[in-house]
Amino acid sequence: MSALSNLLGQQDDPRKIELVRGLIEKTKQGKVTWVKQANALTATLPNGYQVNFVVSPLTLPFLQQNSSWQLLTVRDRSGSELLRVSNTSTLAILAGGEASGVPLTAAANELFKAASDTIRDDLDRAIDTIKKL
Amino acid sequence: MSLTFDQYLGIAGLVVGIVGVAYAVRLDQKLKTAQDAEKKIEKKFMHYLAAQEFEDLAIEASGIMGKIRRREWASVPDLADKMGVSLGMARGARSRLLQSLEKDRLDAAATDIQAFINSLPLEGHEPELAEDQIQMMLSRCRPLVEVASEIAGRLRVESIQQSEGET
Repeated sequence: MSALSNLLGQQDDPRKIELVRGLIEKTKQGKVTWVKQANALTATLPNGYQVNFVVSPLTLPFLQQNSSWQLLTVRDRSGSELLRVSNTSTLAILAGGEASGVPLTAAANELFKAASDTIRDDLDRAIDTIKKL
Repeated sequence: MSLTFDQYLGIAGLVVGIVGVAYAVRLDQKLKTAQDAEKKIEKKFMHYLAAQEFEDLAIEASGIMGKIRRREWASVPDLADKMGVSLGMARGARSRLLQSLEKDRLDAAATDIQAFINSLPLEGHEPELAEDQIQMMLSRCRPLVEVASEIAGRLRVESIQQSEGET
């Protein structure tokens, strides 16, 4: 739990940030396919790695930016959890002023935005295809 | 060439031994089949029980949502606390049967339920709640209803499929 770690004065493992940064890069390159599911965005990577974003059902006007996702996890083929980031906005605000101030949460925010953009791109492509019919 | 009594006895012993081993192998196969059948029934029962637990959770959560909508506050705190405990138990006990996304969605729903419990007004302060606060409470309960009912549905279908597979 990134925000909680920062609140307790613990630093995030830099490798976790590197993992999320890698995912952002590959998502932007279109090499990671994200699938929209009920309240979630998921991606399956080679070697059985599974990335899940649980999307937040809450829409608080003052936390809009941070309430778009609740939980990010990365698991390996056996189901072992490699990464877990909770977007606990209140904790994040207490820890660093705002959620995006926590490096791992900020990286997860960026990944969520990139993943959401790819879903939007898919929708745009579907709209274009239908228009061309 | 004639066989001596001892040789007859030796051959008879060998035959009895072979029959004994064959019987033991057969019994072992029967035992394995029985153990397999027991495991299948156990698995099916586990799925059935887990499906029932998640269905109960979904019903509890939707019941609380109904009470909030009708502003029947009296029993909501106790029901919410009970639901929080049931959710934790189901999440812990049925972890092996859950898919990774289901675990994540349950964890997120548990966070929402905790926030919902914390947001409940103290007794007597319920009339002060604004409409948007009530909507927020409902939206904190909704994810649990959704994910618990989806899991219950999946486990129930899997339980039925196991029965069909056996016939």
